[in-house]
Amino acid sequence: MSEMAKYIVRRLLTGILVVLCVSVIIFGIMQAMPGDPIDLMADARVSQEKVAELKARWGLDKPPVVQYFYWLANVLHGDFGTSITTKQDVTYLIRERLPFTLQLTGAAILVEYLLAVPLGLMAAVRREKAFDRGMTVVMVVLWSMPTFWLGVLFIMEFAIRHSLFPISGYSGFRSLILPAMTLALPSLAQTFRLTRSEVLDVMEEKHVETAYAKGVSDRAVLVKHVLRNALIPVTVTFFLSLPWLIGGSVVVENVFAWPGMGQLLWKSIVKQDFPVVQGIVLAIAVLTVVCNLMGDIVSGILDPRIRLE
Amino acid sequence: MKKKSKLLAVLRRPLAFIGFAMLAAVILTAVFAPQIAPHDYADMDLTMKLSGPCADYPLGTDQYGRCVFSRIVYGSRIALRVGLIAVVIETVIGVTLGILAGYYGKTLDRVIMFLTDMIWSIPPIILAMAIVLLLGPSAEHVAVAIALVTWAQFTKIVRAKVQSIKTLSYIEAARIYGESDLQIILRYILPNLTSTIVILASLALPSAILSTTSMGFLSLGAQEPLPDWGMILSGGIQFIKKAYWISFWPGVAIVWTVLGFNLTAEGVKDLLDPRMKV
Amino acid sequence: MENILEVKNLSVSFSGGVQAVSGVSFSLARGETFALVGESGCGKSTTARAIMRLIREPGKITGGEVRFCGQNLLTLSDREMTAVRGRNIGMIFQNPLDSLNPVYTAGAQVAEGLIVDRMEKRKAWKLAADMLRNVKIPDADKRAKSYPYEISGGMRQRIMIGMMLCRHPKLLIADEPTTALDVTIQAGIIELMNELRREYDTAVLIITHDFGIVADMADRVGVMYAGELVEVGDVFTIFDRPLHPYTRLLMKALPTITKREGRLETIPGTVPDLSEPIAGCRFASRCPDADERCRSAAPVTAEAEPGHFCACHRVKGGTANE
Repeated sequence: MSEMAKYIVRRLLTGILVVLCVSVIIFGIMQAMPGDPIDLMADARVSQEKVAELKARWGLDKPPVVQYFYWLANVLHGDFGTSITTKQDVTYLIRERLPFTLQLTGAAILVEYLLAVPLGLMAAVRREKAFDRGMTVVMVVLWSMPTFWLGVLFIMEFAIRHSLFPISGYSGFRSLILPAMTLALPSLAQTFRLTRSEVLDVMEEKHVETAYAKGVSDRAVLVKHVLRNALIPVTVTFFLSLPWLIGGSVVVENVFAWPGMGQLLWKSIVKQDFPVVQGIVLAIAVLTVVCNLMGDIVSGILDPRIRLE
Repeated sequence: MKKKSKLLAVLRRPLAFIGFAMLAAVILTAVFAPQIAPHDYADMDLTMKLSGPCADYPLGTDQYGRCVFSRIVYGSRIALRVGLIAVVIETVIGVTLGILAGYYGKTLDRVIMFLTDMIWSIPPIILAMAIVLLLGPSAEHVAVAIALVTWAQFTKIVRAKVQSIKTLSYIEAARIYGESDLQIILRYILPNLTSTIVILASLALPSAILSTTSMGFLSLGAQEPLPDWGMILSGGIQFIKKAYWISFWPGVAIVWTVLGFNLTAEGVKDLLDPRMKV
Repeated sequence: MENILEVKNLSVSFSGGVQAVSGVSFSLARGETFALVGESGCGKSTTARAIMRLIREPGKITGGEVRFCGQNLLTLSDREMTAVRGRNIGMIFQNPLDSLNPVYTAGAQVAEGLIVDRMEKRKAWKLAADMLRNVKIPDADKRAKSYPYEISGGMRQRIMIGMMLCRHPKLLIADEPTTALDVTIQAGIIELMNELRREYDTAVLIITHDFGIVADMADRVGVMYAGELVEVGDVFTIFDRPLHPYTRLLMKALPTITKREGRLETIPGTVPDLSEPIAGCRFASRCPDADERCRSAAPVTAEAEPGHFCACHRVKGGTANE
């Protein structure tokens, strides 16, 4: 298992480097913005001295490199700064919103995989039969759907016409269902395709024939030898797709007025609230790196060959 | 002869054919938008605010009394143009970096691969939002932003392909004959990449259109009164109980277009390299 | 002697009407080793897979019988056939590198078959490790916990043999078991198989194109050409007096230590297209002795001498009429 430990450490170091670089990029983008929030907020009535004093207070008068290290040092202490528009602690804002986003994306990813993996397996087994062809068409249609429109359709049908679920906002489990389905369905297609093609690939492999020759039953071969091996790449993408779903949740949260990080991010971008945007994007980048790392570890556990590389 | 019959075979596949027909309809709509649309996309009729479909306004009107149908018809121009620009830019960036990484290897390869890792560690739509904010919201900037966050998928696949082409013996021979790296890349490697690039680009187009409409939905794309599909849709959500058509029909247009592109792209892939993994 | 396997008129075809195997009949006695030889693509591997009913779409068994201990395997339900595989008939394959599942340890894969037989897990593991010792894998207990990628090709083939013999099947089918291995390792595998088949009293159906292996292992030989069995006889007879022109040409193409001078002969021409119906003898187009009759009518298999069968118009009685 020490091979495994070395492998994890290596991936971890790469991950930290990636996060650092991302932080530089994010900081760079925010720096490159025309004007800073003080300029935006201040109108002609505010005196120059007042503006300068405000800038000094927020550290905006220092050279960018210095500002970056100030910011980074604070971030390492868990301090993402203070929102310029609401004066609230960014860490507090993120901590308040993050659970909602994780709840939404977590529910979506569960729906996605619980549907996509069995469907992909079934389609592969019934390759080129009616089920497979039908599923392929359904998946292309889903894949072509913008999440925001799917959300609108769900609202029209299930919230307005049948009043089964609330239209928007957060009010317990029932309010989670429509946003989660909206987020899950379009990305279902990718996982379905991946599962199907991986299963088909593994079924071609020689060791499957060995398993049959051993007298293992059809079902057991399918589960223990085909699905088990095909799930390695599928599991890795499970972890990789979580951040992508968080990206998608920016749109979905805005359709359903879901009180998560995506909505906060969008509002902060529109208001050019730098510290909040920096904080959220960095938090998402860290989350992504953690997810990638988890994907690496799990694939190392599932696939003994990887540990050697 | 053989190639032609193969093309016919793909067109005979019903799905690819349907996709191609859907696509043709979108392109024709974009080209003949002024002839098809009964009104200008910006024409307001304040006496007809939020009125349902009728003879004059086939898909109803929005909160300013503008013709939803005409706006959607003109919107096809924005969607196609933005999608195309995005794909052209991402193809150029992605393929160039992919060739460099695959051909030169070593440090350059490591740097480029690290760059792709980094791009991939921020969800694309979030990074694109940040870039659009830096450049300012507009359709063209959305195209650039989408390109900047999606090139990495080209790089990975092109790099792998170049690595395998590079080992072919005639490349080795060309090098021995003293051909420069640039000559080798242009004369031997690029031609071998054509089908890969065509497949990748045709698959990237529908997702680029989808992403750009998402940006439009977040009102980061073309600004009012321009008829961006995503923006029309998001503007209609607050009236969804009274005037569902404002949000419903732009979505149909998006699905129609993206589906047309996706089905066509599948056909292209089947034609050129059915076994390629994307 | 009691026959444990009788293949009668077995035919397999693939999509497009390709007759990969047509009307093949042969039998194996208990404990006997029978070699099916022929060029690649002659249908010998397909025959082996058809016996195990492992033919995959678009292939299909179109006719004949496979009687194993008197029971026709082709009429069994899928579930009954699953019970026969591994327990009564084992099979090892050409490429040991791909034949083991990369994600399970060697021991687990050997034990899996035993667990299918309802053996208790711990006991199955112990037996699996014992079996690995039996196939002469050094450090067997440690190897049982290794993954296939940590094990060399020759060792993996030993594991395959152990995996397929640990349930004492009456028949072992070995499809080119040494083709993918180095020559030096081949001999060890052959020796091991010879040893174990005696120890376990297992009949072996070996598929090969290598007459050296035939000489080392087989009691009887069947020569296949273009999906048909053209000659069957015991190993000494076939080496001593081959009757069918194809067998004779195949023997001439053999490198031998005694034949120093000259180059190896090759058989001119190519195997006929099996998707087209062939009127006469399938070998006629390449046969040096072919005449009108060979090109118009298919020969029937006849017993030229006791136990020596041949399908050739020009062979009657004991010797070829040259």
